[in-house]
Amino acid sequence: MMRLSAALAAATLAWAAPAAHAHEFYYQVDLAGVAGSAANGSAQLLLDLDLVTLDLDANFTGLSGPSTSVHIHCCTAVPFAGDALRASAPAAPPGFTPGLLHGSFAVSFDLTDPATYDPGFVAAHGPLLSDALNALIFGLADGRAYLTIGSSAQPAGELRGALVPVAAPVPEPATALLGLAGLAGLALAASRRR
Amino acid sequence: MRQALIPAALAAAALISPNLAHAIPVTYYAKLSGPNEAPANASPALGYAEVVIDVAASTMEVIVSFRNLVGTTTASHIHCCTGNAGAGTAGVATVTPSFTGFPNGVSSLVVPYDRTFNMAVVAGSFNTAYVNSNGGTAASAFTALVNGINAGKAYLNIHTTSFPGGEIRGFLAPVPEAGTAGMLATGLLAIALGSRRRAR
Repeated sequence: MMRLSAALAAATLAWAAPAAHAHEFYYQVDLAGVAGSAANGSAQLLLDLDLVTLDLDANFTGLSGPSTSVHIHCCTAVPFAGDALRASAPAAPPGFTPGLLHGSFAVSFDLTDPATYDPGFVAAHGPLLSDALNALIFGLADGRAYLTIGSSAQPAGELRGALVPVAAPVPEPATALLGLAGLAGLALAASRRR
Repeated sequence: MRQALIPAALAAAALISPNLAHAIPVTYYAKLSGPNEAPANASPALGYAEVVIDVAASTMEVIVSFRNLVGTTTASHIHCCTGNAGAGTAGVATVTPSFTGFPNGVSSLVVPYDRTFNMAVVAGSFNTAYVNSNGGTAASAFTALVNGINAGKAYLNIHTTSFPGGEIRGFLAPVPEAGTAGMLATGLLAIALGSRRRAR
């Protein structure tokens, strides 16, 4: 009961945060290599409670072996620490690009689809799929979910990072770079005209 | 008996004809439940939604009641349009974050929520994102919404604290009004009787 009320309080907080899109929740992930790996990266996630989807956009570099998988785990006993069950299915969703040492991918988890979930996660939180969905939604809101990217060197996950609820989407590095490139272009054009 | 029917039939015809000349407001109905959700849940709650659309007047009346929600309400919308009729999920078509004046924080609503929206304007009636992806104007968005409802691809959803993705929902479907159907039957019967009399 304590857990539930805490979850509800967290959910209420999360509801209150983004006013314009009441049903879209954003998460930021700093990906770090597990022991013995120099890999790193970042990811942005969008939980859409109207479409009931979880969109993931990830960038990474320095894997010791080609990428093999991406997984969401939930729900750790305390926020931002410890291990938890794999919530998403063993197979990566459509859009995932395996075989990369560095790069990026964008995938969308359909949270209404039983195939999206790991059977063990549904068994632990079920029996209904909606129970598993709720466990994931509240786990995300509580900061008790994390992302892993597996490689041939570390199949269980070479990169890992907690899903941190954020109020608004963080500009992607690529977008920021585009902006910089645009500014540089303007500066160049201005200097040429002179 | 036959003679008594004629004035009744005339009266019925008089009632129907003005409605036929103009667009008749169409009533849609949905039974809201947890098993109707995607994914389905075991909520014991039940709800009823009635949506009355008057295309000529560009209005949409939304009437919703429900009881026994596990959580308390956080928002309600009409979502449109799913890929297939009666299944899946879609984005919000109506005003966000929720229907204007829809009660939040309650688990039962015995006295129905009842509000008429002016669908000729975007603000206060539509989700801007829906308008932008459906022609960019209130008129084009309303047409898309009505088409989606007629195709069985729109649902009314109630989100709660316990089921943030939606605790109860139902796909909207047109219902023939009992009164109209009855009047129409009376009228047809009278016409049939009248022609039989004339033939004799």
